[in-house]
Amino acid sequence: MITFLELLVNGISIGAVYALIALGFVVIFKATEVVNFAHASLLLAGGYVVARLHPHVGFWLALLIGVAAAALIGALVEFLIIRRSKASSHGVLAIVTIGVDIVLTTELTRQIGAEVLAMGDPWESGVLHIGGVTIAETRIVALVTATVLIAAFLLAFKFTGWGVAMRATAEDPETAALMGVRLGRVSLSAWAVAGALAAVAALFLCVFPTPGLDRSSSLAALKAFPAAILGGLDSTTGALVGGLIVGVTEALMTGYQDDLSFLGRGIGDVAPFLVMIVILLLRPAGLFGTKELARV
Amino acid sequence: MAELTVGDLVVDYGPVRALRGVSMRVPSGSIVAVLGANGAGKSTLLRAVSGTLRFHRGRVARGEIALDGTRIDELAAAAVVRRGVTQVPEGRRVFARMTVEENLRAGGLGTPRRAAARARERVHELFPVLAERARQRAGLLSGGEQQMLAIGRALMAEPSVLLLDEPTLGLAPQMAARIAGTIKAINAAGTSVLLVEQNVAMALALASHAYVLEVGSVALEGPAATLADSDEVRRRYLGVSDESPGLEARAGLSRWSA
Repeated sequence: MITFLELLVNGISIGAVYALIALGFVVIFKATEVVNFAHASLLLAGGYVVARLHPHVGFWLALLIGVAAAALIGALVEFLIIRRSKASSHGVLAIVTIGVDIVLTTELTRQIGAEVLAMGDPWESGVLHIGGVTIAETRIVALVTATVLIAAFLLAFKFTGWGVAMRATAEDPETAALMGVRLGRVSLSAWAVAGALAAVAALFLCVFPTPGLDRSSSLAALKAFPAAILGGLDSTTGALVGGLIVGVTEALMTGYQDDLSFLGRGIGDVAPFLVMIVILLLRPAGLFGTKELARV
Repeated sequence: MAELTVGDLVVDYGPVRALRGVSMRVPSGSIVAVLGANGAGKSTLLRAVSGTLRFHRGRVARGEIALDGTRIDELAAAAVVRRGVTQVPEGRRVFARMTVEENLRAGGLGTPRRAAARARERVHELFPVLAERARQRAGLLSGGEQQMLAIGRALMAEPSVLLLDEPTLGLAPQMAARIAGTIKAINAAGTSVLLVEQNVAMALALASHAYVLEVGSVALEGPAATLADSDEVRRRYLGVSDESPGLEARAGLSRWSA
């Protein structure tokens, strides 16, 4: 029972971090209809800036700069590539983002080399004991931070002019433009917000119990893809629920993998994708996605 | 108040020429109607003015569009709205997943806060039902209410020129008459109106001047009253004629069905 609770809390915490990544993914898709495969490299870039800067400027300032840097890189990708592309379909743009991902990841991998970079966070390897349940402090902080950020995002999405412009654009870009919404700004802000959220996620993916940021850290971001997709690519609620499902599934499958040894080792890494496939078979538009209805 | 002028406008969609040198004038404070069959280029004309041709892979190949003498044909859609020209799109296109209130807010995003509050008050005065249903999803409104919302949303930008694309399409006659009355009221408050309409009788009753488009060119133009009396317009668009071929055609039909 204790093990189960520990795994569950860890799963929810890591799920909240996946939700941050998936949320950025969904925001970009809603604003521009582009599936952003460069998301993992934005995350790696944000994490890299934090890891490199914290010995010089301290952790908090480094985190701030890292978040700003990832937002800036996201905005630049939109401004220099996506906006200028004459590509006729969003599918082509999605492939362009794969190219961006390869370039960014290759350069960051070269910079990181074989090192494992510490994030310099103040929580280090501290643990909390709550009634026999042992949880890493970093997991609690991750859960709280992700919850606050997600709540702030959803409130902004619902109540601010930015949110209204974003939702109007997601629903009908041409009409939004007719109403005076500047589509370029909406798209730019979506990429910047997604970059910033990814940088925060990078921090929590690389702190204890993970040894630190290394060149394979961006692989963890791949698990946010099934989170976004199984929730429904165009649904913010879906991104949150998807993130939690993936996080909890992964934590439980990894925790109990000794009992699941007939499935082979490393089932925890595969589980998110299996869940995604099962959900997509039952609900092709994802759990909360807009159904594509065609009148016959 | 502002005057909209279109001079020798040529618009292409790839290899297809949709407008072939159209010129027209919407004088300050007037209602001008654009009539014509499907495919005559009416919607293309509005797209060119509102800067949304690029959404349909169209482009202005020649000519110019100006608001009070300043060219606006190279501006993006949002910039055109900021200059004071706003379009109510064909088919209403309300943001169905957003509430009525949020739809109005979306229309006033580019307007300063105080001006937007004033505009909202005016919209609620024109369409009290939009105040009653402020928190409902726009997709749940009836067709007529959605048209009111679409017009109200466009008014949130406090336009000096309002472009209307088929505002009465698919509405019951009573609702169409109500929308017509509203257009008159909006115009009386000082907004110039460019009205594209299939309902020719209504359009000619509202407008002071009208243009008839045919395959991308202006085929006829003149004061609305004169056009309404002209034989050609009566025969082609109002379905009235001295020989009443309509009746004969109907007799022919009944023979077939008997």
